[in-house]
Amino acid sequence: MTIPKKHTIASIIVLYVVLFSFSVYAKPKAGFGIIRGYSSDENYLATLIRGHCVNIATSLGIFDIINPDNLLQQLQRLPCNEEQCILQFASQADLQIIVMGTVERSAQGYVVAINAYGLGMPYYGKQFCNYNTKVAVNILDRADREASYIAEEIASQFIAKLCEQYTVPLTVKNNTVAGDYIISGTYTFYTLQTVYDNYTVLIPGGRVEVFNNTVATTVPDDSIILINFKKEADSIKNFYYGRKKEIVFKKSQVEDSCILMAFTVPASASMPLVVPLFGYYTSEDYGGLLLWAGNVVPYIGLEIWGFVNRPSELKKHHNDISRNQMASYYFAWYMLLAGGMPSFVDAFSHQYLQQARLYQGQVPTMGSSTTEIYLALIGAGSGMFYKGNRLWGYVYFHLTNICVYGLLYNYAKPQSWDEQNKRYTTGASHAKAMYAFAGLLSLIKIVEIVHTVSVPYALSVTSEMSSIDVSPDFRINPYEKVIGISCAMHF
Amino acid sequence: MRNAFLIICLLPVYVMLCMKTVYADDMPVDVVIINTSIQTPMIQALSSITQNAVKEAFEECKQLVPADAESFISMTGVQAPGDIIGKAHLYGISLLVYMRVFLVGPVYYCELSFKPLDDKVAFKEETVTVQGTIARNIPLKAKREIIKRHQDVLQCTIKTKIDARTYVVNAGQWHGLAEKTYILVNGKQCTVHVVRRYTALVQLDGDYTSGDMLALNSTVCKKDLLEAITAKIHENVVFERSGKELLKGDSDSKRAIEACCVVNPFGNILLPGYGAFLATHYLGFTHTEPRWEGVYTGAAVVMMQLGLVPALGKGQVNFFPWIQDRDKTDAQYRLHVYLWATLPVTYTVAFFDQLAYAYERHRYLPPFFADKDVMAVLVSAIVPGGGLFYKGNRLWGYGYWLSEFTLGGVVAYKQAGNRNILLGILAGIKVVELFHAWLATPAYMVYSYELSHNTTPINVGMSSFGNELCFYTYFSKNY
Repeated sequence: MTIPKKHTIASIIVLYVVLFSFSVYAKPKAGFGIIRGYSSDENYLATLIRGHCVNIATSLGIFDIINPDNLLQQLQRLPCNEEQCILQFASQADLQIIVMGTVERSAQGYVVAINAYGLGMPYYGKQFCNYNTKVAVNILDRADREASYIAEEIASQFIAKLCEQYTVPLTVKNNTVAGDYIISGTYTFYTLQTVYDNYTVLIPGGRVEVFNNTVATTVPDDSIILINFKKEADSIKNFYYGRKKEIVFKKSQVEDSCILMAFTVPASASMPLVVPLFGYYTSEDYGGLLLWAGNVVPYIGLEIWGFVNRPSELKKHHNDISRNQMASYYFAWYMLLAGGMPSFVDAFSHQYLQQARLYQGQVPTMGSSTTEIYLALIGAGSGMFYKGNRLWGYVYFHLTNICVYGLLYNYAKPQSWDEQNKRYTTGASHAKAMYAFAGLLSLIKIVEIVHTVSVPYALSVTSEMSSIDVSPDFRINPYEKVIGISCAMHF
Repeated sequence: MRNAFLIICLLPVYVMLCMKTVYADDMPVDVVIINTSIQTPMIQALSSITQNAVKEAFEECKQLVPADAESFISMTGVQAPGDIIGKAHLYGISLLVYMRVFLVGPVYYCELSFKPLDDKVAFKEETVTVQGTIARNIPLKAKREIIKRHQDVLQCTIKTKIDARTYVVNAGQWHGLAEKTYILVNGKQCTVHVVRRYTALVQLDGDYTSGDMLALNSTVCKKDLLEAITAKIHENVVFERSGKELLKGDSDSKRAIEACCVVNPFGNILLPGYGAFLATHYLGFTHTEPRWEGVYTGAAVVMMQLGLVPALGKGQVNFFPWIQDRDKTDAQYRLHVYLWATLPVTYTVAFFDQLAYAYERHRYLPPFFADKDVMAVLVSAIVPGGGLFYKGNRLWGYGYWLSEFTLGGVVAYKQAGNRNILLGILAGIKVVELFHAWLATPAYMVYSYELSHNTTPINVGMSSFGNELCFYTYFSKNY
């Protein structure tokens, strides 16, 4: 089937200018076609995303962007809005990329799905980029500025993904790479083989050095070099991450870090009461509360046990003081003075980062590199919690606590009551094991600091479209009955 | 003169267009979706969203390429929707789907009629109706019905034979094919060399001719798609029927925790049993009445907990558990402590019972219902039978609570003998309860109604059987 001639001819008139400029354009022509929604809020977000996609792609300078309003007008005039028709339309309009997407309302926010199709070689109408994400926000509740920022962030993520996955074929003639791009570096060259009709494959020929579009070794004419835009993708990501930090974090000051340092001991000491009640419960962060209950409460129990069975209390009754009791007592002091800090940081940074993700004003205390290094140094996983990474935060929290306990256990000197001499005799430390734990702890601290500094803040307004379901499974097929547990990951 | 100028200008453009390759592989269409809804303002938006969802269902299953009727008409030049059936076979259409969305009272309906035109599709000629009180669920339920009816194999046809082993088939990237080797259902190999959006160039073992069918294992997992839809419906129901509505924006989760930990215990101390009902008002339930069976049960158990040991001691023992007088045996002392210590649990169970009843009656869902299974396990871990009450299964909740409470009492009372066996049984019941809480289906009508499948209880119809001149009638029941 083809689009009836009357529609084709009608579209020719408007595409006339575009098509006559065919020889002038050497960069791939990209059309940001229909990104649409059905309800007013979906349409509002879709329009914002589309506008920002065009702006970002234009500013990159690697595509020739077709006037988005004209293209949209043409696509709306097209009587058929199926993918097949739009691909054919794009192909006839000599576009190399066409972008289509939808914004769909869900209970928690929106689901954004944007696809990019390549029309020329090597894609021939195939979809090469598929971006799906969820945004947990009601766009109509947001001020215009916030809504625009959110849409721009989504658009930047999509364009970055598009740049990562798109390749442009450049033809080599007389050992010179033709086209509008100046390239240098090592590339693979391909030869185009037609298998049947328009079914072609690219056969890799080998690696060649290219300097300012000149190929160092001789390659056959009409060979093809595929270039990608991964650097541009990285630039987009870095630029928008940096910009978001500037927008949502108050400028960090040394005083903030100093206040936090001074506040370390009171924060750590008050953690068992303050964090669950005034942190997680007040901000309704029940996930955080559950994680805290599972991960931190056992250490609080150890802390209480350490203080209750403190050596001075045991000595009153002339009880022996085991290595374990001594270690628990020391560990209780560690938990009181510093060990409670990670939970404190988790509770407050989670609230701040949630505001920052949605561009709800500027949040204080966050974004300071001094603070993050300090927290990584003193608190087990505090730096990671500070940056919004709970998984790694709890990994470092447990690793550090185990090492600290191991260190204190081996440092502790057990005391036993000598009934004959009416005095306590003190045992020896396990020096080797103690040094081993100290070394391990130092290593973990170094890794933690480097890791903390290298990871970005969890600032993205979008969340991954994935979930893991584990459920009992019972199936019957013609051959056997199957009973078991199924695990499915949805992307 | 003006026209001549236009023609001259357009000529090179037209030539260029003719020279261009059309990569959309001649726009295949396998399914046409015809929306016959009466476009009233109430229905217009929902019917177009549902139509799109029906299309999405086909796109996600990656077997049959869909198009809506308007697009099909514009592609083919068919004059009117009525002509589609007559001309569909000319364009290789395998299935027509008629859909109609309508509203009866507060319930939205979507009627889907399938009309298969050839034997390439697994769809039977039938009409299915889905319904729901939440408009947002109608597209999802329609989508679910379409996905359920897809087969587990991808059937494609050989379009062109190039040489003894090389063929062009009418399935491509859209259908989930990639450039790799597949095993056909008949066990032979199929190597995809070049893949396009709707077609692919493949190498096959064996000799085939144009028009032959190939069956590959489907590239998508139907079960995952269906689970994702159920999850979305669940999300919508939780959003629309959240108890937040009762509190006019206040947090229902905070209120629930406060009611459970503070309001309800005090209420029950003042009025055993009835206090649990009064505490439900803290969650916004008004103009309601208690579940009297629950009130009586709660009050009776509290009385029993307070009075059992004094009764066993014939009124001679001290009323308070922490005082062990000479008349109170060790076993009685332990039982006394146990019964008083479990009073908060009884209060909570009575509260959960009243809450489950109030949520059912007022057609709302409890807080944290988005993670209902995890929440049920957590509640059950703390309160015996709590997870089952949370999911609205009150009888099961009472069953677990009474059995665990009784066993606990017996264990506390007995010091020797088969105490360990009883402890083992208690632990076993707890494990079973936790599993049950995780797996139990919520009993709330508002929830089960929205997640229910189509309303057509029995299908009766007639369909052709392959290429043979044979018809069969069928009778099936949907669950």
